[in-house]
Amino acid sequence: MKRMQKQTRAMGKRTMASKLTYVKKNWQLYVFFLMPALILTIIFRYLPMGGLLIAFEDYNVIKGVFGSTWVGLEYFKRFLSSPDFMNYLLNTLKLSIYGLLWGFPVPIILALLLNQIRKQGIKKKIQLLIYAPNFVSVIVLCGMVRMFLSPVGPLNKLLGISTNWMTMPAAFRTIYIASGIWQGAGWASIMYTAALSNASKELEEAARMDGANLLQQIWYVELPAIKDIIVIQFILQAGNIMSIGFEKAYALQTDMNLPASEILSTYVYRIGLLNGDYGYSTAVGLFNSVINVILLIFVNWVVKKLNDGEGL
Amino acid sequence: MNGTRKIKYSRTDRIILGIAYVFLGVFVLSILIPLIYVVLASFMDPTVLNNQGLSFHIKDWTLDAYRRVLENDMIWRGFLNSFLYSIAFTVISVFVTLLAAYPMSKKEFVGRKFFNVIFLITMFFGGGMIPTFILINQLHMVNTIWAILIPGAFNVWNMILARTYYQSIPQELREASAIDGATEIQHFFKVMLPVCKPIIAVLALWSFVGMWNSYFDAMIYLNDANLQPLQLVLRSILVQNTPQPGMIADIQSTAEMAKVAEQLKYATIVVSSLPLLVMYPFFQKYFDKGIMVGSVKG
Amino acid sequence: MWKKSRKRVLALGLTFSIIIGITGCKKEEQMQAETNPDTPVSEVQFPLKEKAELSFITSAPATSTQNPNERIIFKRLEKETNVHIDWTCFVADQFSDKKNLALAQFGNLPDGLFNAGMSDYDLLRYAKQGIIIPLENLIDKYMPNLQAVFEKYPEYRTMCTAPDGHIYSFPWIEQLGSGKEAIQAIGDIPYINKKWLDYLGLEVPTTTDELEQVLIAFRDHADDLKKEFQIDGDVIPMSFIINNGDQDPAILINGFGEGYGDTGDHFAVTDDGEVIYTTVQEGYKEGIEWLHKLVTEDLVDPEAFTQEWSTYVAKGKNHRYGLCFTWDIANIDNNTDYVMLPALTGPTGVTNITRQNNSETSGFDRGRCVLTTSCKDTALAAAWIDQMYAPLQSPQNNWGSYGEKDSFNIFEMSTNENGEEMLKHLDLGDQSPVEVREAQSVNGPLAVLNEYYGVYVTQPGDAKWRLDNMHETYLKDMNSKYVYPNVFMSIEDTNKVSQYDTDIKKYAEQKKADWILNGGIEKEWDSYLDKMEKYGLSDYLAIKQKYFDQYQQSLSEENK
Repeated sequence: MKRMQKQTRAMGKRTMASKLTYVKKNWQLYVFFLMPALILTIIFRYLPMGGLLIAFEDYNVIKGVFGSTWVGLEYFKRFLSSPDFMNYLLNTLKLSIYGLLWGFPVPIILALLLNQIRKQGIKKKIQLLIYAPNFVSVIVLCGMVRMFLSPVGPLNKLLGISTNWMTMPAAFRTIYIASGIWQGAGWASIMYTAALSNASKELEEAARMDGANLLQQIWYVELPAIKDIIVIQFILQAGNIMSIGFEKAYALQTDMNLPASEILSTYVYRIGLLNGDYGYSTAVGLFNSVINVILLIFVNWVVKKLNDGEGL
Repeated sequence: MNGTRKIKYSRTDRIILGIAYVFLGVFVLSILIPLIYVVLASFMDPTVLNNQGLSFHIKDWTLDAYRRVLENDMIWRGFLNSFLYSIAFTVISVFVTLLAAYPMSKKEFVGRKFFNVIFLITMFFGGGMIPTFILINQLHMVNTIWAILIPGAFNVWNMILARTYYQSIPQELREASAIDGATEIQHFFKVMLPVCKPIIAVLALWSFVGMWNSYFDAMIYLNDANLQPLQLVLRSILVQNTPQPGMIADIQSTAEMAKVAEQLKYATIVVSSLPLLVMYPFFQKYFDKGIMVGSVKG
Repeated sequence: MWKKSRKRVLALGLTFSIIIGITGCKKEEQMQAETNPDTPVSEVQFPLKEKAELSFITSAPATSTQNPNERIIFKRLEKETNVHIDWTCFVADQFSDKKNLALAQFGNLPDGLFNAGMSDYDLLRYAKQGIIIPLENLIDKYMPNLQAVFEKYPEYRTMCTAPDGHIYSFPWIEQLGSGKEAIQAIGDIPYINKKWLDYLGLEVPTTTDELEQVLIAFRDHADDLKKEFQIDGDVIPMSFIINNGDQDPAILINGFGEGYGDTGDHFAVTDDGEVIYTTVQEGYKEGIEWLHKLVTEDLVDPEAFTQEWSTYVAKGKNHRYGLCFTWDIANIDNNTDYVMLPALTGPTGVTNITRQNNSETSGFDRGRCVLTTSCKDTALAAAWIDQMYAPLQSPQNNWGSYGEKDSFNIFEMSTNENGEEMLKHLDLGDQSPVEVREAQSVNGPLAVLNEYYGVYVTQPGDAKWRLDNMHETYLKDMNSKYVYPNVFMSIEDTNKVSQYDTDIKKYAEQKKADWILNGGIEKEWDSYLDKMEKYGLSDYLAIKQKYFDQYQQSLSEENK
């Protein structure tokens, strides 16, 4: 017993000397392989973190990060007491949460449905088709949405009315989420489909022999097969609730739907880059990032508890 | 074990299956119909489209919109730029990622945990829009193509995928090279890469598509109209409602301009989306393998 | 193990910070333009001996060339001055965002912005950040033309000077009449289709009720009108673009309540000198209710709440409007079929026209042109800009040019009574003035003074038509004593006002559109007033009042 422990310890812990030897011997790994990525990471990911100081200063472009006057938590106080900010925060959350609620099950359902198709030929063709929208760019997607929903567009013609959906804040969320599902659900189902095709065919057969019907088969065999992936996907998406992307929301905004379509990232862009309020917008951005991290940790913890310790 | 199998379905099963097919059908239709509509609308005479909607009389069909779009300088410039940027980005990104993932995939790599942490942190936390913008300015990369090619070149998620893939390759390969006296670099280029074609394809495709479809970086960093990628040209036309001057310059009246502008949008969508939509089926076989690898590790 | 990692991470972190620090400090070498150069004036006489280059950002309308050097005005200027301009041109519709982004790219700034489109707030904040430079020294040394303008009208110099004593921008000045007769007194003129009125045997309405009846008549006889005049598309009794400057229908509600109606920036001044906000007045409420009534009666274009200029014009060119709003009807349809709708008397007998604010000093745009801190040769830039203020140059930059082959010219070069060169406006025929000007004009900084008419340039035909008609139709009903003057506030106040504007103006305009389209103003009025208060309306008004009182005082002191 003791001898085994000693052995593992000897193998596990390497001395400083042996490590240096490794580095010297394998210098190529460090200098050639790792260096480019490392440099990129340092310059474009870590240096900007230093720029977060701007969130606490009255940033002046000429004076730079270290020459500008310190204002402490003034910006944080400002946006936490601003009703508009709360609105944008809510917009961000609602968009993410509803998007998650509605959008999360769809790829799973698609994968399960596809799995029931026996003819491989048809299955492949359908797959090809539902993957397609993923390759349509955000701009094109939003362009299509705008054209279809315009007062003289096909949707209105079909319904016989003339509503300008893009100007209605109440409609924004639905438009955003529905178009998101349209574009992404098919592609997202790949992951589940791949896992399902790994699922043991024998287990399925056995279930059938035992007289299980389709629903039971899905519940007891197929779903558990992809449970791990579902969990991980969920954690990742839930943890990213606050970092909902800029590009699509910005492309779908109109002057009149801003009360619902202005989210934190577009707000940061507007007041930061367009309005030159660098300090304030960096503070908002920082707030966003921090909440994001906290959320991720929280969701991971919750899921771990629910899932017997299986998490990220 | 593929092909059609004979399975006895109970009655309830058949009903459920029926419902399932209906749902699937609805979803598939919901994808097809808008796409087909866009294609059809791009051929229609604008007045007819505006007043009646789609019509199938041949006389209402015209290639005018396509002529205007395909003759337009800015569209072609956008295509060219996007193509150049996407290729360049793909090369840089895939190269950097594949390289970095290699040492990270070795269990005995000194500092592995350390670098892992360094990289992982960047996935969840960063400087944000403004500090990054300021940095790019300070580096004098603004209004140059480097502003969109370099900062995003290394993607940690992609590195994780590549790393996982490397780990699925048996150790014997490396040992064999070592016996032949190959250095890591030689082993990597002569032995590893040929074996890694699937992951290279996946990464390349994702990088290319990612760059091709994005517009934010170009929007904030590129001022010169000549540097604009396709998506920004499209944004002007489709989102901001400003048709390219060249496309409507020959039309005298503003009324006519507005009408044609609508139709131009459909043609523009078709022309700009066609390349990717046509390309991607060829890469489909690589997805499944790549995704599987990624999903297993997670 | 963990501890060692943490130590390493910390070490790296420190290295990072040092690197950041170094990069941060490196910025001291940032270009700082010389605001009081000692270049002798003789060195910037045109044409220069050696070709020089300047870089500018400007804007151009989407329907005209995006390469300013293709315009005949700049071609001639380059020949005359031997200065080549490297232009970055943005489409006018997208200019504001692009300009802000461009100015945020502080490592890559041009020498100046030719069509800067800067608000007071922009001027002050960019000045504070050091992105744009003070110009008064340059004006005094290198700009005789602009100085001449300031000498004739010292109030313009005052208006250009910021509260901190500096001048940060070159102005745009276009005088066409003055005081109540200034052409800017009314922006959104309502044009009613006289042709249709005559056809239906109706009189030009003078009250709100009469207008309603007329619009109903348009609606009910739509098919007849369509057939009679062979109109392509449906008849639209009334159209506008809500909240869009001269295309907004606010002028219709001047007859409600006390008669203040609504102005472009929603401010008005009572005859007692009190500054009020139009969109919280009882009269405004009643007016909006009435407008909503018109909507419910199907008298209003459904696209009026979302359409853009090009769509608005497209329908107008198809002669579909009974009543529409704009600066000059010739830009939308033609000016023979329409007449200006006089001030409508409201249900209580009130008739009034509220003039636009800032109109007493007629056409004046403060933040038209600026120079940035990256400008190496400020003397040259100032001298070049001064060319724009030459009496024969300003009208061209503003309206268009002469003698361009294969193109529609705005002017021909002629002579005045003294035999000197004078630009004579050519007849526009049935071209729309805006479109032909856009092709040749370059805007930017310039000054067209009342004294120029008849000496250097004739009055533009459409402006004259508009002025004369305006005087005839509206002068008698301009009952208010005051308009809000053009004041340049301190940066703190400008900042506050800018924030208030974002909240209050946006909210007011959003509700305005909402209530006209969907109704509900009665129900929501109280909570609306509360929200306005919460947004800080009282404080907003107090700031505006302060500057108004200051201005009035300085006027009376001048007159002493």
